[in-house]
Amino acid sequence: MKGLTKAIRLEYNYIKERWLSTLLFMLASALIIIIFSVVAKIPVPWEGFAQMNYTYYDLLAPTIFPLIILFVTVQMVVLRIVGERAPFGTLDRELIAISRMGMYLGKMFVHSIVAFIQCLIVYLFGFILFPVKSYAMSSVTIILLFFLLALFGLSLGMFVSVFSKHKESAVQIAPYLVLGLFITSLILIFPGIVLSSSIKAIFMSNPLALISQSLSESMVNGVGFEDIGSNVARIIFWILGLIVISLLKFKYERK
Amino acid sequence: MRYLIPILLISLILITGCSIQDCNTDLSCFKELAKDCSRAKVNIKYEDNDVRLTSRGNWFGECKISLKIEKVGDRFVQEDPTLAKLAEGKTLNCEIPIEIVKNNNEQYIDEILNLEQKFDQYCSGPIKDTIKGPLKDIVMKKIN
Repeated sequence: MKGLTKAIRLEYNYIKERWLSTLLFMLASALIIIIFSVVAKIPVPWEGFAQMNYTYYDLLAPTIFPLIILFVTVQMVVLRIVGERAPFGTLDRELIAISRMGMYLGKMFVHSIVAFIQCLIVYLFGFILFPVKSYAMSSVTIILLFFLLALFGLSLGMFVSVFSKHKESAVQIAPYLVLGLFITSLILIFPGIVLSSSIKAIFMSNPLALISQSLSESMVNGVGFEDIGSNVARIIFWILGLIVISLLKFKYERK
Repeated sequence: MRYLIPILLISLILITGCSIQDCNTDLSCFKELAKDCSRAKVNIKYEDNDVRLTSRGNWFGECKISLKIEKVGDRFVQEDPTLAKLAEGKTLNCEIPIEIVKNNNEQYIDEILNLEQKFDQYCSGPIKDTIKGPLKDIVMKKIN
């Protein structure tokens, strides 16, 4: 991990130079939540939920909030490796003392901090300023789930960035990956769709579905951390898996 | 290595600190632990429903107790499948002042299980709202 601190400083400078676009990224998610809270504040007609004054905003929030976080975090880093490949990006002399691993982890570290702020903004707008109906036992659980998804988003973005040859291909594939994950997780929340247990297990291995289900369990049913612990463990496995694969590819690819 | 040891130590503290003693189906074991507000959980059958009780310990002078309906009884499912599905998986989360826990000894667990009005001010969660909303008629019928 040679030159990790130098890599962190370089990445910090990169973010600092582009502070306005980073800020706009964060405000975009807040804006989506505001619009979503206004247009989806329609009472649901389903028996039981209707008497408890649930709206579409309340029931869809556990799926929409993660989608916003995933979209932003993937976009945030999708060009960070592929965009740095010669002849673009950081000057070679700046990178002399930094190992590939240090470079990768430096980028992840700095963007994790930005992603954490992003999660706090989503929480602030979704749970405090435009409050969704939530029985969650603690705000820490919600923010932790958001942050885990943000880390998954960053590792997915870095994965795409490491494996892409050109900036265009990275930018083109990222939204399709996010939408693919979103659509497969959406199938699990519609009350009318009944899936067999084996098909459900396949859909449930989707990290976005894991977080959506955990959020839904926490917000709608009010369960404690012990009931979502296995989902958390699985998402950590996804994050570590993507990081290890990307790191190996990045470390051993031709400079 | 210099990073690994602190990480392992912190993980160990977190894991041991967060562990909850499992009383399986022994309610008296749970009550014994819960009267001191110790962390414990138990799975019981209560009025045909599978219920899990969890004592989450003392948080700033309040004893945190949760009740979760793991599985709704067959009788209720046959009576009203939609409402039974709605009740399944729901929880009741109570924050009871430690003095009340000490004065009540272990009786307060039964009072929570019976959803007695005394604990209304300390408990919240979807079960409470479901009883006041969609399940009101069924609960009233049962009381009468």
